[in-house]
Amino acid sequence: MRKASFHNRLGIVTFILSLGTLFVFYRLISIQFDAKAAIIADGQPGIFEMVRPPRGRIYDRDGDLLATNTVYYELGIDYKSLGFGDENEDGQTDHIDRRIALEEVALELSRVLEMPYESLRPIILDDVGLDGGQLAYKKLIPYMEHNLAPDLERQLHRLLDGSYGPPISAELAEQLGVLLNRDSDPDINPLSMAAQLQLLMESYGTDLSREVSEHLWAVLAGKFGERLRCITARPVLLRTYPNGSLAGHILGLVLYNQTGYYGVEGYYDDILGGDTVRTFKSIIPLDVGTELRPETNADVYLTIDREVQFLAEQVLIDSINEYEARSGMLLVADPGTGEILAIAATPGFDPNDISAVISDTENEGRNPAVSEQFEPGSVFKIITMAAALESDVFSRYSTYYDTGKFEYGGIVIQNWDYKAHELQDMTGLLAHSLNVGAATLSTTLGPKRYYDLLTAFGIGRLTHVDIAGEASGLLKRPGDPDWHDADLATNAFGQGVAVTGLQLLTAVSAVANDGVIMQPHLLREIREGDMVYTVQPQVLGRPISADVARTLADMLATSLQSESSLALVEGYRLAGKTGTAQIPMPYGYDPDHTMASFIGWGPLEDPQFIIYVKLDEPMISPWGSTTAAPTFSKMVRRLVIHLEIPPEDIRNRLAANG
Amino acid sequence: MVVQARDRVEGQHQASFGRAFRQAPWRKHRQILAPLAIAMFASASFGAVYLAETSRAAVTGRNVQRLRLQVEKLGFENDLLRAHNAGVQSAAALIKRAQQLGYKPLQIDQIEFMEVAGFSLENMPRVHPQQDEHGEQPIDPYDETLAHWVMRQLPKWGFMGE
Repeated sequence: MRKASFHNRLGIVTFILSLGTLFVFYRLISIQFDAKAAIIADGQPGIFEMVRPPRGRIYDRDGDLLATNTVYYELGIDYKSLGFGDENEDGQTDHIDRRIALEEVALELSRVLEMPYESLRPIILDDVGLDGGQLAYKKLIPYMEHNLAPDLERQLHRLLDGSYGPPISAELAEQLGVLLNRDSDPDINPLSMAAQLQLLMESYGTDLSREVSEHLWAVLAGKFGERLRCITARPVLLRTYPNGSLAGHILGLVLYNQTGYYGVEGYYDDILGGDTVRTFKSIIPLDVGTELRPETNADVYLTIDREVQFLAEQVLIDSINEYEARSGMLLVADPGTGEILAIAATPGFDPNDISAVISDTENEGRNPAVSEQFEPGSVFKIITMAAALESDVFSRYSTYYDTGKFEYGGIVIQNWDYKAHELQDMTGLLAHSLNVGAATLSTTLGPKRYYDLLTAFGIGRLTHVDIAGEASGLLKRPGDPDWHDADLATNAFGQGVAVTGLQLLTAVSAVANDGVIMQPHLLREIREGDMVYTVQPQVLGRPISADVARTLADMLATSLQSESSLALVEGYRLAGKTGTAQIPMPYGYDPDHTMASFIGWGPLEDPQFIIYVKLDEPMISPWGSTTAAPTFSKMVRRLVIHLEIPPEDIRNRLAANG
Repeated sequence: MVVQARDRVEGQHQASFGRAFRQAPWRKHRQILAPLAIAMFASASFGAVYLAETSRAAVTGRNVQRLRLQVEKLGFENDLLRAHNAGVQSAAALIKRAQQLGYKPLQIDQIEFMEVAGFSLENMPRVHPQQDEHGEQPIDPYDETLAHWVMRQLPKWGFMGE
């Protein structure tokens, strides 16, 4: 008896152990070889996605944000999750029901988004077969405003005021109101609104009507409620420019394909935009962490000063209106480093308004300061004079006799006032802006010496500034098929040669910077995580000696003072030159319009800025001395305050104090 | 003699085992069942641990996925706030606000300069920092030709006088 009892107990233990083992093995096998899991694994245990990390931001030199990303929503329809009764009484599927359901979705969505039903219906129903099963997902609105997205708070408000969703009881409305007003103490109840709503729904349990319950669950899932369960809103990043059109030409723009065009966005697209990476997003939790994740993009800091840019745009617009000019540009740079502080140009554009920029086929977001070529006019005499002084053939005190006419290469050159200015020294030539004198200089130097120096100044060559779409300008040289002897004389006062605004500014900055041309640039820093790459000023060339540069700067300052130029600013010693250029046409020059310009810098002893002003076709006065020169003065008045540059006497007193 | 003794001992052992199994047959069963039970217990333990670890990893994976979603969402919210802040601090908005508060742009003739003892030109704010011999100098482009380089090296090689 005892033996039998023991034997039975042993058998029971063995049986239980066997059962346990079998169960564990059954679970192992069922999980490991689950048919459903196998289908998922064989099919799509996740999704392949083209992932591009958020685009890097653009800041000005002081860290003010110029371009960043904001959240929009991609509104789409998931046809597979469309809910509808698709069976008739006989059990057959009625495809018409699907189309009716889709039409109801279009109607409902049009109410929610306050969009016309007529525009939504074709987007939802077009390309969909009678059974509606051809498509899985369709993008309805690629970039929907944030305020239209189905965020929880907004949807709950709509549920409360009865504008969208099923009717709710007064009791539930009161509790939702408490939730929305955040009346509960956050210290006592630190849960998020979503978690609180979920708790509220769970506390109601089955007391909540099915319609309300389904609606609230859909709201929690970030959808437009139960009736629009098939509508999805996926957050996507889109470029935004908080300052609107400010510095639009500098920044360029980013299209919907997340590619930068023009300006900094175009030039530094590889740094800001990075590469798109094809990643596999697994739905299997055990695979988490094995996916390839794209690296974050770098932020770019520009040399632009947002305040100077704002002032430049304001001064330019005021001048264009005041002098009734067609368009214009105003550039500000630091001649000592080549840093560009501002580029204002009209017509401007707002890079936020992509469709408007694209539809403007004439401008298309180009930066006129680097892409527009033009004949510079008399401001080019600075370069000609620099060449003459550098050659040692002429000195500051050299004189010539101005007869008012100069014949060379088969053409007759005359001064702008058609007058003879008799005996003139080099400062007088600049002060009166004499074409005859300039032509005398270039022809005396001869083509080899003259054009070699123009090339050394970078005329006719790209500056390689970091803005997309730069033009090289045009400098014809002897031997070129379209070069004539007369060009040597006319080039001297800025005719027959084409430059860009930035090219001219860069060339003349050599005179302000002791004969050294610095590489013009917009990039100040690139920051990527902890790494910072800082751009160092780079010398682009030394076309003239420091002595020649200082002499010429002094001559220009003296000439401005001697003619009481409107460019002058009381208390500051400035150097500069006006220009009034004729506008070339297919045959000759436009007899009615001019291009007025001024280029100048200051303070003379320690130049901290160089400004180039160009006004196209001013109607009030055609002359640079009465339009562009006062514009320069206006800009300097604002700039010296912003840059905290004291007047000459204060500087001298400070220098004397040591 | 020794072999005979050993055979005798073995025979005695076999006889005693045979007697023991005859007296209690469950001993034989236990001898078979015990290793079987141990094997089953080990397998069950292994399976249980495997299941527990797998499920724990799955739960952790889900948590990571949830946290990543949260990070993504927070990133979006951050971007939204950053864009909003930048809009509020834009140049146009600041100018508008300043005008609402009654501020006007400072004019050049409204500035009064005061003498501050010990203040010198070197302390003045500048667009670009002063470059002294200790600071970073502008970088000259390297445009030396091979002929120039050879000419520069000739004195070092002793072909030309210093």
